[in-house]
Amino acid sequence: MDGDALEFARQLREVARADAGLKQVGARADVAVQKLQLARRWTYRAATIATIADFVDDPDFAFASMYQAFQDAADALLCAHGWRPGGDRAHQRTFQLAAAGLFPVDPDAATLLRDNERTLRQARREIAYDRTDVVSRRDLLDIFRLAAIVLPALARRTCAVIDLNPIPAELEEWAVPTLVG
Amino acid sequence: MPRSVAPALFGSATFPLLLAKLCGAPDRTFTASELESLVGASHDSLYRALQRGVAAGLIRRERIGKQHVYQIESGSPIFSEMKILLSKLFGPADALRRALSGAGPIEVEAAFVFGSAARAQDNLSSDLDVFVIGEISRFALARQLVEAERELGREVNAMAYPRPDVERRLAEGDGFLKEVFSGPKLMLLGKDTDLPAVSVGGD
Repeated sequence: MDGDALEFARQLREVARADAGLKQVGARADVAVQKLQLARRWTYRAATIATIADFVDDPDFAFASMYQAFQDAADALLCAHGWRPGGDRAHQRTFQLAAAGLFPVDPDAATLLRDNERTLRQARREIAYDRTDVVSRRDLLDIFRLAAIVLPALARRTCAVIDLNPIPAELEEWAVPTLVG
Repeated sequence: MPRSVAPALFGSATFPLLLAKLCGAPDRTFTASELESLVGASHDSLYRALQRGVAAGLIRRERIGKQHVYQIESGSPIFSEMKILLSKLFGPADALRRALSGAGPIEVEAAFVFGSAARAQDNLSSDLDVFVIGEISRFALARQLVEAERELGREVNAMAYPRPDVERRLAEGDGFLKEVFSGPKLMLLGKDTDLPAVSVGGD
């Protein structure tokens, strides 16, 4: 673990003292890798759904799939450190803490995650619980652009934290498909 | 909206500001010294404004121990209208309008507040629901509104759809859009009359 990861581990312990929802589950490199693989799979599911003619009028489906990729990738980084947010604000805490863990090594990707996590959660909540036709094609294009920067950064950081060397090709060459408007 | 509108309407700069602060927190009471610092007015000016509000039945005064506390009279028959007017002049609507006016006319063609704030039933902890017609994504819209959120200290739930999408969905009888477009709206940008019409008919 590098110095930034050690400092983040210290911060997580401090956060956990004030946040009962943040549970220490023990660092599991294999589980972290599985979560990254799952995130990558959701990314490709989202891309596939977004381009299938039957779903072109339903961007919500692809958006929700890509949201799951964000959630799994953020979860992977925290899992690599041995923590898991639970409770009412679990998704919010997962994104915010993952952004904090990413910041020292990739401030651009971390800032993008931090600044957009509420928009992600809000849209996903509406899709899951409220109604249909929540997001537009434009929103879908934006979440793909965001994913192309944030998800590989989370994957690289997770692999670095668990000292995974060499990084599996499928995680290293994680290219989020580009959607066209 | 020019800042001179409120004094012109109310004949005082302090009085509408005082009402706006009280309307923003209809459930709580304030002491005169709290209001003095919130409104940023002199003691005498604030005292006169409080007297006017109490005499007009717009502000409720109660004695607790040795001091008076003040609260907006939410039972006033003009409370809702007054709150919306003050929101347009000083409150959320003003801040949101300023934030959205930074976007281009194609990105934000029209925008309005809906939900509890448009019905004047919100309080300081209520989210603000904003609907935008235009070619802007949710993510870009959130960036546009981030300063207004900080200024207001309230969460803004904003959504945006291109006009053709809104028109199509209204024509198809989309329940959510019908509710939004037929409910109370606090216009931020554009005119109410230019909004897509809700088709009349059964659900």
